[in-house]
Amino acid sequence: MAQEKYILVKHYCKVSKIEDSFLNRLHEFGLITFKEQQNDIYIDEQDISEIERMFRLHHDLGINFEGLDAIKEMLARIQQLEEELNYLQKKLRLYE
Amino acid sequence: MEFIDYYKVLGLDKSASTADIKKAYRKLARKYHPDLNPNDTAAQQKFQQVNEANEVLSDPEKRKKYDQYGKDWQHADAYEEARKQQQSQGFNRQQTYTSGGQGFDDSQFSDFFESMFGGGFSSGGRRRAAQFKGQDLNATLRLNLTDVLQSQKQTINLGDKKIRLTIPAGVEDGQTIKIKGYGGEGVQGGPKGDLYITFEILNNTQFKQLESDLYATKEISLYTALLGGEITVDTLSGKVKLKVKPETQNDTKVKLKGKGLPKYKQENTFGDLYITYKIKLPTNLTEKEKSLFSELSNLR
Repeated sequence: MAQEKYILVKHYCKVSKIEDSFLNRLHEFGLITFKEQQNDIYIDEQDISEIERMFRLHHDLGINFEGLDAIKEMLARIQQLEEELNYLQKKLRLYE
Repeated sequence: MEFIDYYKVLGLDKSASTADIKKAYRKLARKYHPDLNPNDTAAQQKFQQVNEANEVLSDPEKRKKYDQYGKDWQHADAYEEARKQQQSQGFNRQQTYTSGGQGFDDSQFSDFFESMFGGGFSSGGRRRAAQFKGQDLNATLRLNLTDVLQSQKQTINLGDKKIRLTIPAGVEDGQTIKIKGYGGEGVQGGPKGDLYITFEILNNTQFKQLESDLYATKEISLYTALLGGEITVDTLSGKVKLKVKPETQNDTKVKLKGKGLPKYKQENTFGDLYITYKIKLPTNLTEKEKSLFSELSNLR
């Protein structure tokens, strides 16, 4: 079973120099999940790549939070379709 | 270093206004942004070019130099410096340009340029202070299908670094594994990126494959199909004897359980081997055979 690791939001913002308001907005839009424990807020380590990606898209391309949400959904859909295409291509080879 | 036509990169001509540059940059940045084109190295290169073009053309001072000196724009300040020095030494300007490396070499110009502009460009990274994980790197590792039957250790060279890798049995074609911390250096002190290795599995066997299952066809004679019998089939672990039931139809499929490929990260679990029977009808029949087949057909 995969072990879950949580990182304190305050600590992550300090190290990454990403403003906590950005993370709060992501949370408001349901793009990341916060875990609260004893008045401290944590993020899942697995979400960090996604947070950084959304931060780059927000700052580099000026994409707002609604746009980030749409992009996230579409990228997930593209990945799913690519996997499906890959599987079907392999299956097609059985009949060649 | 090859000259890059930054106007061409942004699809503009030299008369483009600041607003045109901004508009073209935004459009192309959205199109080629690495986060929107994962695993597309061509898009990543294009994005870098677009960024570089924007860095130069959106800055009036840099754009002026670029327009004035064209392909030598990076050395513009060095030329200016050289011109001043050489004028004071009594050389004429033409000699300075044609004398090449006598007084200056390209590497000095480059250092000089970098010291003036504070180093190279960084994909827009200078606009923000956030620390980021370094760039993730992608590599492809080619293996034969027979190589994935057992876990194996391999050493791969990544630039000047050697990485020892244990490849688990049953790794699939197109599957990607992540090696943490073996990617590019972090940005502004951020952690290193990761290395993603995608496996390309070449099927060097007679079998067709779908995930951990293998497929093959086996010719059997008409008589074996009708009367049943014993045949020998090849598997990846050697030959196997198989009983054919009487009255077996063409295209009948039989499953040899556990004779497929090992399942990824599931110890001692294997896929299956499916054999499809193809009945081979006899040819060049003798008169006696023809007569016997006629007799048989009359019985039906």
